[in-house]
Amino acid sequence: MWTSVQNIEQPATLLEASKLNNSEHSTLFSGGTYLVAQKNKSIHTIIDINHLVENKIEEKEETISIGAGVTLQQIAEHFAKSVIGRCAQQSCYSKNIRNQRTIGGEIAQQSSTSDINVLLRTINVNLKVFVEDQLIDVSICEWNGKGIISEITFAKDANIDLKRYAVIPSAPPFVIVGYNYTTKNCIVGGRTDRFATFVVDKNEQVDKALEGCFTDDHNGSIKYKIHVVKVALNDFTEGTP
Amino acid sequence: MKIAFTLNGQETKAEFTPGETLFHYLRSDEIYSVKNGCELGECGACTVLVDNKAQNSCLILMHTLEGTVVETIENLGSKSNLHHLQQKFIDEGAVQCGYCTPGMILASEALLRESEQPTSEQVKDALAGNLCRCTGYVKPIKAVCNE
Amino acid sequence: MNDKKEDKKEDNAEMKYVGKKTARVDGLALVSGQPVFADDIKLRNMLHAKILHSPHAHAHIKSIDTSVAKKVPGVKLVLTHEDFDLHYYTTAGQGYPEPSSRDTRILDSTVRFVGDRVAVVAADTIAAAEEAIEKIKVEYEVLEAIFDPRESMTSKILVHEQSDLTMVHDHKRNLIAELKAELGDVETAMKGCDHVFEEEYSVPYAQQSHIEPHIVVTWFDEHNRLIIRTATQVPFHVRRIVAEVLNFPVGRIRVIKPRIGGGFGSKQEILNEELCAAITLKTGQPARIEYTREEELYAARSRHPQILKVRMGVKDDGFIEAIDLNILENGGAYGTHSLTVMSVTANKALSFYAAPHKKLLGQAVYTNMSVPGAYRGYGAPQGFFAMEVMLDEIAAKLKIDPTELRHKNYVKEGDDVPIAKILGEGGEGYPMVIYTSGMADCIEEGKKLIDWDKLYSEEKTGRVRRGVGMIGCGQGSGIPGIDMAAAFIKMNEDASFNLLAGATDIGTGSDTMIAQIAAEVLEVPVEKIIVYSSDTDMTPFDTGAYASSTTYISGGAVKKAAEKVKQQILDMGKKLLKVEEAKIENGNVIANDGQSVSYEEICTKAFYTHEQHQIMANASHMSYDSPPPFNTTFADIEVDTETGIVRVHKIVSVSDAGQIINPQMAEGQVEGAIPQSLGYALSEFMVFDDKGAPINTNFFDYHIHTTIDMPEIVVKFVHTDEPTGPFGAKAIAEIPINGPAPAIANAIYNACGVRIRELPITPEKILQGLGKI
Repeated sequence: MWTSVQNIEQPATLLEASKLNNSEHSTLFSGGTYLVAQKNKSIHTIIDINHLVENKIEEKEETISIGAGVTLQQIAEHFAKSVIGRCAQQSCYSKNIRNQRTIGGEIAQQSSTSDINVLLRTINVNLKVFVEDQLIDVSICEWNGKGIISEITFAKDANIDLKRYAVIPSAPPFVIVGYNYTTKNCIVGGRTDRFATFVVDKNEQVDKALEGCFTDDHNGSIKYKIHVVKVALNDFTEGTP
Repeated sequence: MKIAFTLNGQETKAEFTPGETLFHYLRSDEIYSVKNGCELGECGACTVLVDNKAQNSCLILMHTLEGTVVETIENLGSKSNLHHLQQKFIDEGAVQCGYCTPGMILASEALLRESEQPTSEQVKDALAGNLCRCTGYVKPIKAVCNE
Repeated sequence: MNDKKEDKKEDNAEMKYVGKKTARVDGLALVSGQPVFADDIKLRNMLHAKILHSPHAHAHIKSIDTSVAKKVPGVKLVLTHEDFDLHYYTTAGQGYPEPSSRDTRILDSTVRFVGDRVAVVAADTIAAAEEAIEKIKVEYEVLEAIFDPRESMTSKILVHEQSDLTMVHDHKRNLIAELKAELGDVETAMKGCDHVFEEEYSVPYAQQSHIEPHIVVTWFDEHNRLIIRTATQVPFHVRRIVAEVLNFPVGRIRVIKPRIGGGFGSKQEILNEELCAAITLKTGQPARIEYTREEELYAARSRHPQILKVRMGVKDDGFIEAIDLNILENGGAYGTHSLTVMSVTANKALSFYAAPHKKLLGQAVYTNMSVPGAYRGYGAPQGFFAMEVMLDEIAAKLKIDPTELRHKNYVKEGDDVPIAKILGEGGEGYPMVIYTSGMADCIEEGKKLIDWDKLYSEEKTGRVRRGVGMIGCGQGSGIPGIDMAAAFIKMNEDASFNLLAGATDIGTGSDTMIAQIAAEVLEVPVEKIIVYSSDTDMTPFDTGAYASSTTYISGGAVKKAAEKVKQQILDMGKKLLKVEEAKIENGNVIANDGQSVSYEEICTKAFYTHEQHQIMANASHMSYDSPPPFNTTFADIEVDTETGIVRVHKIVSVSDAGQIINPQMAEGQVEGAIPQSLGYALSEFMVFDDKGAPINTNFFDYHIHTTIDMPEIVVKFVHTDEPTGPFGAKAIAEIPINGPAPAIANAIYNACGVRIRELPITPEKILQGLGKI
């Protein structure tokens, strides 16, 4: 039960949804596993946009587009042989939940322990976001978190990889490192307050880029986690053992 | 609020309050085979099938189910007519306390509907969201793999 | 004794049901999702109760204002410490008189850990109860708290200020319990040894993590008796302790144990039964308390953290002469199980090796931390982690193969174990002799299954290094001189038998196991045994499902009762056949001349026409023996020496549990115990902030193993025939949980030379050991 919820709105258009989502007591809902698990007591109104977002994956000649309503499991299956599918799968060990959780919701949550979020930032995918009354294009790394995501698009040829570090395979990763071989851009997630983004050059720059990213916790010290990021980068650039 | 959906083969009109989860609805309806292990989506004890896919009923709000087909273990087999997976779980000793068992069988059934002869990797992946503290998963995996 | 053993072997060869694969008697109900668990019940006017837990580690409650909470629509009752008389008891579900500290009140005016119970609200709905909980206004006087067990005994902060508590060793030193023992002369022996090893080991809080939370439902039945339907391992202790706390007659309480969704010790506790019953007593209405997963992880029970200092005196040839064990146990805010867990740590760790000189100092101390309790292994996993890592250190230093070092030192068949008499569970114990041990075979079998000779000695190079490690251990079969079980069997006219037993099946399969024992004795198929267990109105007494006691003690009671019934059947058969001599075969009593009478006829005639009576018998069983099952566990792992991350490839667990009653279920016990210990090694530990508040209170952060985390698991048994056990059986429930964690620690040393003396094994500790950070 989510006892604080009094209304469920099912708007006819994204514009309407956007207008309805006007207070701290309302929230957008698509997939919604995070929201239901958290059952935030201050929420009185749920604006369900499930029926307004696409749940298809389209591959064109050079680009791929994924509707915001596509589930993590759909992605895991569609891209079964690539790093995208692997990351969608690893983002949530439970297939039951991957059947429920949408990519739009996953991005909107901005959780840095999600492999797929780190990967999409490593590609720096383009988002189509409905803000106020218009659909805008914005790259995921530049998105300010406002609006309703409707679609994710990116070039097919992204040359990327991702490594995750967890005490056992299904445990939440304490460090995730995504690497773009083309741009040498590196995204770091895991048990972090934010995503760290930097271009790999020298180890000293890594320290600076990761300043304030990690905390000392039961998974390990800041020093240890930075060490792991460096090991990952070394493996990307020198070849994985 | 009201919706119409199919629950265990029956056309069902459900009435519920806006924040009600499928898990809560089912247990209130005395379908006790869906179990509470966390109500956070972490354990899978409340697994159901929605349109043939295994999902955690504690994370499903009732209003999203309009027109869907929902199944619990009761729809697979009964005491007098067990589903082959239920029998397999008994035969292989895959049941210990039995609390996670209905959810685990449903998650297995969803996989078998997708793929008749899944690999052991696929079985492990399909059951990873169903926590079990008794079996170490050895016998449940065997029960599904030998299907 | 040898004669006795040979007899047994003959018996066993002819057994039809014991030792054979047998489907669970409750399997059908469980796979078909029948409403067989505690919460699967709907009662009219049932109240849902929620507990207000303390946000502070240590505080006096200056005032509680419940007036606003009581006005929330649907709220029926709010209870605080002001509603209860001053009475101290222990929540430990143990035999009477409990050896545990009587330091707990149902609700108290002082709170002693984050999660302590402050108040309870009962309302028509959970939502109303939750809303009311938020509206209770509590004024706390926050007190200084103590979190470090090393400082407890010298701290000025007293977790329990009251001086009138019983079963507390010294409340002014926060000392819950102290154990001292010495066998031989350790100091002199140490001086005569070629090597003295001394190290400190430590283990953290860990959680049982049964999937079914604690759930209790109480109501008054038609006859105004209090019914408690609860997820418990100890229904008879629940009845006794609720009666005591609420001052309500035992005879008016019925505790029903339905199917239980896992316990692992966590449900050997009176956790909310007294509070739920209090609501029913005060309102006359049914009441229900179910813990959320979050509550499970901070307000229920866990495994005791310990710091263990071990000193061993060893000869050049590897024989251990002297062991000095010093245990500092963190008992958290209440003493429940602290003494007995610590005594099991000492007892099991010190009785596995035959060293002639042994010494113990064990101290269990209060802190303002979460309350540990019983968890499968009950102290033994802590003790064997320290002992078995130290054995590995000795093996490395003396360049003796670790398997050889064990062979030299573990207790052998025929050995006296004098430390068992000195160190019982919570008090003096009973003399112990090892009648059976398959340890030598266990180790040899394990070596083969893990490919020890190759993997242990192969060169370790490269970034990712593979290693193997092993341990040996023992446990017990029930608590000698304390555990008692009873069973009652009556015969029906179709040659089926009702078996009513106190034995508490918590998912372990004991209902099936006792049915097999009864079937074996009575010579009828298992389907003919109708088991009903663990209901304080309907079944005879049993101390409960703990201490690996069910097969050995409860199984013993069932065997005796079945033997009595069988004798009655034989006697009645002889009378009907009018013969002096006859035997039982295939459900018939057969005379020497070949004439026979069936079980069905015997029972029917006894009911209706001949010497009318019910064929039935009851029996009780207890034992001053507690024969140890033995186990060896091998781990095959790899370590990434750049990240410190460990992956476990394979665990081999070989046990001597005597005659196995049900091979499939016994395997299941081992297979289930292994991931619990893998978690203890790598991923499961409770984390607290600097105010004593637990941080990882969900399954995402308190991470137990899933299917995708499991290594290959190989389970084997070696056969022995324990002369004191039913059909030669010893216990299996707990022992396999001891091994994986220390075996992994030892395998890490083998792989990369890093010695781990502290759980959990985090990747960072390995990198530190490698000098890489």
